[in-house]
Amino acid sequence: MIKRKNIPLLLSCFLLIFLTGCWDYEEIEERAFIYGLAIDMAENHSSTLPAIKMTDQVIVPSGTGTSPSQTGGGNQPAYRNLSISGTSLVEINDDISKMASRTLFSKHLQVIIISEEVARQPKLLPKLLDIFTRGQQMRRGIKVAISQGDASSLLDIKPEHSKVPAEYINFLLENQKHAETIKALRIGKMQEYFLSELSFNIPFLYIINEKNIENDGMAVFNGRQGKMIGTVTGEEAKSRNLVTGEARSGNLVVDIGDEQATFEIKGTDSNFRLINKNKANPDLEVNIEVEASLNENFNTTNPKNKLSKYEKFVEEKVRTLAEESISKAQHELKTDIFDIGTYLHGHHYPYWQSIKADWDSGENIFSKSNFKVKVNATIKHSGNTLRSKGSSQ
Amino acid sequence: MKNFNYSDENIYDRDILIAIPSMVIAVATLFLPRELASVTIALDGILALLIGGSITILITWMIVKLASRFPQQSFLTYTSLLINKPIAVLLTCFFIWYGILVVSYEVRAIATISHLYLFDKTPIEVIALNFLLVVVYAVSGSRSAIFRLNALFFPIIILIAMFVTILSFRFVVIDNIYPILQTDVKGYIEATKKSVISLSGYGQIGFLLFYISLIRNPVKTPGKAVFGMSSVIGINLLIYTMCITVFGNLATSNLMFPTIELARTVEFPGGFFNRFESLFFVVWTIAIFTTSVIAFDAAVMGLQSLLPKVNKLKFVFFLSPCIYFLSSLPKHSPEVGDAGRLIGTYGLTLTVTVTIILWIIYIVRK
Repeated sequence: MIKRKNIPLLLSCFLLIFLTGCWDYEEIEERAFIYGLAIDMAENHSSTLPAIKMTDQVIVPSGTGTSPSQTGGGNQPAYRNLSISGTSLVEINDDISKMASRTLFSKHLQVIIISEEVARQPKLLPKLLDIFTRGQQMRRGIKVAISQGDASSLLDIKPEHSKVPAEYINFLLENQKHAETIKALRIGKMQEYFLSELSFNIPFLYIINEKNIENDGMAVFNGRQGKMIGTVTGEEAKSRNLVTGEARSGNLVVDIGDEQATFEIKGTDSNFRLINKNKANPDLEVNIEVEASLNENFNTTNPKNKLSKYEKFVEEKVRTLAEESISKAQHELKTDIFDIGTYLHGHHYPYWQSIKADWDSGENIFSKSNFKVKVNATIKHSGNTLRSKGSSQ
Repeated sequence: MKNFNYSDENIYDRDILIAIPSMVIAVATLFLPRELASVTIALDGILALLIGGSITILITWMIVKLASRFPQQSFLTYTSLLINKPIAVLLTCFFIWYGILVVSYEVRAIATISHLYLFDKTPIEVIALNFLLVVVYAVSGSRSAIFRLNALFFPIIILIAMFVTILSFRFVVIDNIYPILQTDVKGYIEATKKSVISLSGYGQIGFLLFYISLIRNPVKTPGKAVFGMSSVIGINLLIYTMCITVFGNLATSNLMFPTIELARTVEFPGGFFNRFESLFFVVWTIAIFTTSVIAFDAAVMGLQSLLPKVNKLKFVFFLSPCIYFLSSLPKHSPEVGDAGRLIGTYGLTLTVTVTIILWIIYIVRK
């Protein structure tokens, strides 16, 4: 007979079952971390069934050289690219896991690169990116970029200072302050755009040579049509950033009299104003504030006392650039690349509700709007020298 | 089994101050931003939160003021005094049933959320059982110990809520606060209703009707309770504002648990704390734990007042399987949500009607 005293002891033995460990127990060595991901169209896709090719860039720990047990693993690549075609990204990932020797783990996914071809398919991109906000391993900070040509080939380049191409691309997107690029776009922000059906811009990458990728210009995505409309070159992206007040650096080459001078942009700010709420062709005013400094002067005159005159030239230049950029967006792209939709939604809500369906699709009120650009430039200083050459040179 | 006995089972005013946020901050805080965002435009939910908050503070004050008129008398005693014994027993039973429902809901909710974000393969039933066992352990001890435990956890919960707020400042987009005040009246009413249900912790503030009896001299208690409730409103305001300014209204209304998503957004460069959410989950599990413990204990307390001669542990061991059974009833997460709404409506209606009726009778009798 079991003594009454021993019953708690037996009970505790039974409770030992709960100490055997965790169901989700998994050795870190057995996990394959996906760092980057590329999405391309499969080679034989039809219009009815758009097959997708997905490439996972998986980290190979022994190749990164940080593992202490590894001696001289430097020649071994630190990553492995696995790609398969299919129609659903989750299914493809499942198929890829059959090739990987370890469990695929995407909590550390940094970048998603999408080929231009995929982005240009109508309404495909919002569908494809669903998994990246729905999946429980996914984070809203994953960056997205569009590539010229094949997206997977960007994951094949051999950067010089980084062992993993995806890491290189991640830093390339994150640390970019150049005026001819745009801020890194995160998947969370993209979901907001998809939900509101506003148009937005995506960083645009292309391969320069087998060691380098350049982040230059941007891809324009039309929210209502659900597809990429076109690209904007670096120079034009700078103009666009002047209009939206996002330019934090970059140069302006301005003709002053017969000679040219180069100004460095120190900062810009801008705001929009809706002047009349005409539903067919509203009038909008753009106020741009530019702060710059004189960096290079080919003129022989002393600029010190003529800064206000120089400011006039800078203002004129910025106005020309802004007007060109607006004109291109209105007539060529027919897409609101300046996020004016967000401004109208925020500050003229009832008006926006009545026109949002026809803003940059359908009737395309955006392309029929009249823009008035006002620029105010301030030149902070003219550099360390007054004149660097005699007046006859 | 020997239990350590504390010298007295009394609690103090400040324990009530801390007990309110410990009760109320739980699962509902994780998705309140979504519920508000889905019926309002941009940041307009703030107004609903403030109105709802004022209503909740009023209810809290009424409950505590009423109960403190009868110091050291149980709910059963003073209700029998005000109305009569049978109705008092019936109302106590309603509250016991409500306590059981709340624990079941919280247990299931934490199991579902943990399953979604942390344990992919561990069955929900096992997570729920483990959590329930810890709750049972806390409830079987001394009652004042629960309040001491709350006092221990409360600062941690506040700290983590602050952390989430401060660390996500980097992701704030000012444009998200516009347009201002464009919501229609219907939206405000809907949002206010949702905030009252959430801020009152699905009506759990009603348990204060039981707990005030533990305070020896409840003179300052109503003021402290109002202060405790205000802290809850403050935390909810902060979290809601951050969710809207970081994600925008549309995305917030489309996220399953915006508050968790906010914690997941926070990323430290490099190092150990690169992933903040693990810390957040630990602390929020504690928050849900305190809620469950108080609800469980309130049910036990109700039973004790009905049958004063029975050992407390017998109630605990009788209720635990019932709670586990109830918690396993919903089939999937939408059903858990529906159950939550149902329990919330039941709890809030119960709390508000009982309080108002008792007040009316109290004033008439006086």
